[in-house]
Amino acid sequence: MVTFAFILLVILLTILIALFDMSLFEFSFFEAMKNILYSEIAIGRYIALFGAVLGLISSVIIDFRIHRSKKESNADERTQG
Amino acid sequence: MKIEKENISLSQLLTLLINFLLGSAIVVGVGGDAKNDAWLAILLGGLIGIGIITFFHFFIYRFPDKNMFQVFEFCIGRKITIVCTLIYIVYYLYISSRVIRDFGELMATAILPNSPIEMMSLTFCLLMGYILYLGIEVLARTSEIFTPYLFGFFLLLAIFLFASGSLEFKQLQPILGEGVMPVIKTAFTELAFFPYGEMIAFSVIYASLTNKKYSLRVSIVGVGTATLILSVSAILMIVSLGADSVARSNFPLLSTARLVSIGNFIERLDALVVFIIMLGVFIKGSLFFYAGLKGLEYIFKLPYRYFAIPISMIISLFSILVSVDFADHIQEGIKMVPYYLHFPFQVVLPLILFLLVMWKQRKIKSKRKGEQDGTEQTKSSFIKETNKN
Repeated sequence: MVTFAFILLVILLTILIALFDMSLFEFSFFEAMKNILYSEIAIGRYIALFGAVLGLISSVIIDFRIHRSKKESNADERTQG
Repeated sequence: MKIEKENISLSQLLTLLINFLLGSAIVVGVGGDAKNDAWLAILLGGLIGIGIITFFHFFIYRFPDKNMFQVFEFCIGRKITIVCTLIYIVYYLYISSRVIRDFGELMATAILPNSPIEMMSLTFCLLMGYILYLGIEVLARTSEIFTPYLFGFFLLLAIFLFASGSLEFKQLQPILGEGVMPVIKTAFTELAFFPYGEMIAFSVIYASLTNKKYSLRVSIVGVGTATLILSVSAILMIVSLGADSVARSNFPLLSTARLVSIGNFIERLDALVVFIIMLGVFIKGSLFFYAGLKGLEYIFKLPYRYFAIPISMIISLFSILVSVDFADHIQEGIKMVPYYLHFPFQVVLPLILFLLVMWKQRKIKSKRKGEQDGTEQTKSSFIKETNKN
């Protein structure tokens, strides 16, 4: 769920920024997306992307831990029951 | 998953409100359109702010333990609320990214010119994520502890500016030289949305308040204090730099602080201003971030702490992606954000929610009344029948 939320929010925020760029610079949608992906993070691109990858990895780990704790609590319930 | 109830005291609410309102407003300066009368526009904006916070208390008094998303659910059901919440989350995270970008630009252009803005944004967001992972109580305590320093530094800055003799109060004149209209226009079209309308984020925070009886009074004091600080800072900027220079400067308060020079010894008081700005930006960015996290908690029914670190990285990324440069950032802030984001999310949706709550509560009242009448009727008919027998 955390990973899903992460990916969903990245997509929604990218769309919002692309819409603003379309309106402000009169770009087409694909031009705006290209502008976001290539020109806006030209400097320090790797630092920005490193942060995003860090977020994605942490969300996958959190999801895994939630899944594991759910599994363990289910197993405990079964043994108690 | 069990969702914890957190508690915020009234003094913490007060400091959160003050820092939130100072936030990025003190970085870029507000009320610039009113030129010399910016301070008057801010005072008028403060009255609007008090109106806004009083409006939010309509919901707080009716639904003391519910945040805005839960009030939406009460009115329109969970399915539609999830869509509304998702849109609000995007709004909150976008504004949080913009606030961090403001601070990043300030640091990158004025304080640490050789450091990459991405690195500053990344570390700042990691800190925000960590603090919110620990909980809103930790953020509130941070705000409570550091706010006295904010007042102290602000007072010190004003005293040093006076002492250095760089203030010319003539620059405030003519007061209302172009009439009242620019002041009213600035207050209603600019300040009502930024920073006062942004208090919509508090609609998520009030649910955690321990003492709701005095929350309105404390909130009004908070808005009043922040307005006073903003207004005094506007006066300091105008009387030291002049209205034209304030309009041209990217970070007018910082430029003002750089004028301080007492005996060629006490100089470069940037650090004081940076502290004030950093605290404000940190609290404001974190509160928007928290509001977004509470939305995610509502949608996914998972404690918001799980989302804190990953979503902080989204804010960090989008604080960079949000615009190409500072000019573009300001353009978006003036031309797009107030009309396409602030207006619908601060005015339209809360007003719709207000109407829905009124309608729903009236419906419930009439239903209860009907039920009571029904029981009374059955009682009276039962008595009549027993009398006949």
